[in-house]
Amino acid sequence: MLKMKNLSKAFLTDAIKTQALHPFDLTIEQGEFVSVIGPSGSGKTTFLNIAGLLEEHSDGLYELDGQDVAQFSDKKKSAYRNEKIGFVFQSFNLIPELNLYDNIDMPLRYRKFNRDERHERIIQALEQVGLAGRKDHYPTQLSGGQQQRVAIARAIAGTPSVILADEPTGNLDSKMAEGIMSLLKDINAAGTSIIMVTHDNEQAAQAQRIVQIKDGHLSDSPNIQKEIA
Amino acid sequence: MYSYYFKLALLSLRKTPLLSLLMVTMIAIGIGATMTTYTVSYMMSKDPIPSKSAQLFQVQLDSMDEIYGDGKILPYTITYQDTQALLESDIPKYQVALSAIQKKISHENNAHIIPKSLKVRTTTSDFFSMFETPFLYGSGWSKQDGKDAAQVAVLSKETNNWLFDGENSVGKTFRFGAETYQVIGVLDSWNPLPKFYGLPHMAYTQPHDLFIPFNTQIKNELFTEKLVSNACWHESTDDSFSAFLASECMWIIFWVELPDNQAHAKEQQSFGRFKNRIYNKLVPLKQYLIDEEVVSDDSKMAVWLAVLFLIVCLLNCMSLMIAKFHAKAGEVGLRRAVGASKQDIVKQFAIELSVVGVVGGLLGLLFAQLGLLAAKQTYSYLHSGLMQMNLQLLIGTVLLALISSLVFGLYPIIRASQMQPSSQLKSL
Repeated sequence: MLKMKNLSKAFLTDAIKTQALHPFDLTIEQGEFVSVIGPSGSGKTTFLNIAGLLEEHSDGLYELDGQDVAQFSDKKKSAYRNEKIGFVFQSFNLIPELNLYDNIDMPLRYRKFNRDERHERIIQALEQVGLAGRKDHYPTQLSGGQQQRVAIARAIAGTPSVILADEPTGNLDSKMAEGIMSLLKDINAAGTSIIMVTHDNEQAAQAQRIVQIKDGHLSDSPNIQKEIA
Repeated sequence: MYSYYFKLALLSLRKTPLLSLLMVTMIAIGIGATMTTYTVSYMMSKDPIPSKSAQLFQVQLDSMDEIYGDGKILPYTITYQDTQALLESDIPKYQVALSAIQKKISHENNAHIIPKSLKVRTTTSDFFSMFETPFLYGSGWSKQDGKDAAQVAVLSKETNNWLFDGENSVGKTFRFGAETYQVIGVLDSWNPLPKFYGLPHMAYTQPHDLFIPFNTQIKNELFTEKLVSNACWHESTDDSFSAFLASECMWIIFWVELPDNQAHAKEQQSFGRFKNRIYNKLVPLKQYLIDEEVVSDDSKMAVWLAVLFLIVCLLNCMSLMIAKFHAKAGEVGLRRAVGASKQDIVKQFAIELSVVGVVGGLLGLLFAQLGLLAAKQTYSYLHSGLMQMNLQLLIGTVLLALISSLVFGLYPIIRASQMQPSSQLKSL
């Protein structure tokens, strides 16, 4: 489903080259739940941004669902991102002046679904995250955990192939975090791949597979799993 | 999708009401000032008779001798002798001699109507056909009436309202000084702007109140110095009216209508008494308005100043737009992440600016109307039509606001759409 080969990322600022990600290979199959761990500043978010087509990689190959995304125009890349990827962020990133219904509606609008299809998908997504009765509420009327559920509903409403979650429980207490993790696992069980960046080793261990990034080096060895465990 | 963007635009404007109000007001003030001055200038320079302005020519004759005339700049008035000669010509389709007098007008037997001193246009019978005047009742006088110096008159609508209470007054009589004149026609509202056919410096004053045959003026020896441009380069032989008519005094404006403007070139020299002179001219109507500076440079300058003011307003507005879109960086990043292309972002913000532009334009329209109202009160002696926007100007005002806000918003919009989405996602 996701294939990165010899992929690397370097930033050039004032003629100084910073290697954010050194060349690495990574393949993730459809339906996998992968955790990405590593200290702050190690390149986890850069990896996630490249995987999410929000940033270009400098070198190497990136195939998502069999397509080499490097060749895509901005328009095609945006449409592909909309169709294949759902994002969940640490700070939820809901638009405060839109109610829950309209927040979840956002990606569906760019997909150009008709009104009925959008409605059906929004209601279904809200039911899936347990907030069916609150579609007219605004984000500020919800707890942090509930807001993250809305963000997850927004991510799954378009039925993407993969959900990219950047520290999804980072702003939540442990009880709420547990709820979110269990929701993500349910979504994964239904067939959606999940790539989750986290600081929390305990949560990372709940994934089927763990990838570590340290100083820009990505390692995908079974030993990491054992170390974390 | 556009209705979605429109909804987002309203939400966004509501979110920052003060900023939105400032942007709208800034555009409105600039547009209001520009359109107030532009309306006056535009209405001044409008083609007063578009259907035939290419066929109307003013006759200018080089009747002065070498000492007085420089042969190049000709006066726009001609002498009575030349007028008589020109009226004989059968070349033009229509030809019109014009002058003006002032006379006390009163009702014959209704003492309640207080007599007024009115401005009277004296002209020849072709006037009404040539300038396509609309008639409410009756018509202009015949050629024969003109020749006979009949005591007939065509009233303006306002004069008819005053003297005859707006009724069909054709056939009725009224006092013209000490004489009795008969109404032969009543004009409907007719205010060509500019009043191109008369004296250039009176092109924006109110129209004359009634019209009588030119020969009637001559027969009754009527003359009002202040209402004509009288240039005498040669003294009359004596003080009599007949000596004045025979003199070299130039005080009559003469217009001709020629079916097409090629024919006149050769025929030009057959006009007037001075066939050997080459500077006799037929000046096309539009050229005449330019030559006589009917649209003053002052009014053009005012428009340019107002446009500069508009640009200053728009530049201020542009800085507010940059600030506004900068504050929306998080939303842009999020929208890009969930599938919006750069194009989608451009469209969303362009719709938002269009709403600002149109609201600014409508408010600007209101400001412009207030400006024109103030101008109308300050310059009450000017033609009121100058301070009125026609439909094109009304639509043009809103369009100008819309287009200028989009042009000045282009940079902020493109800047916003080019933001790297990944860098903005932590800031929502």
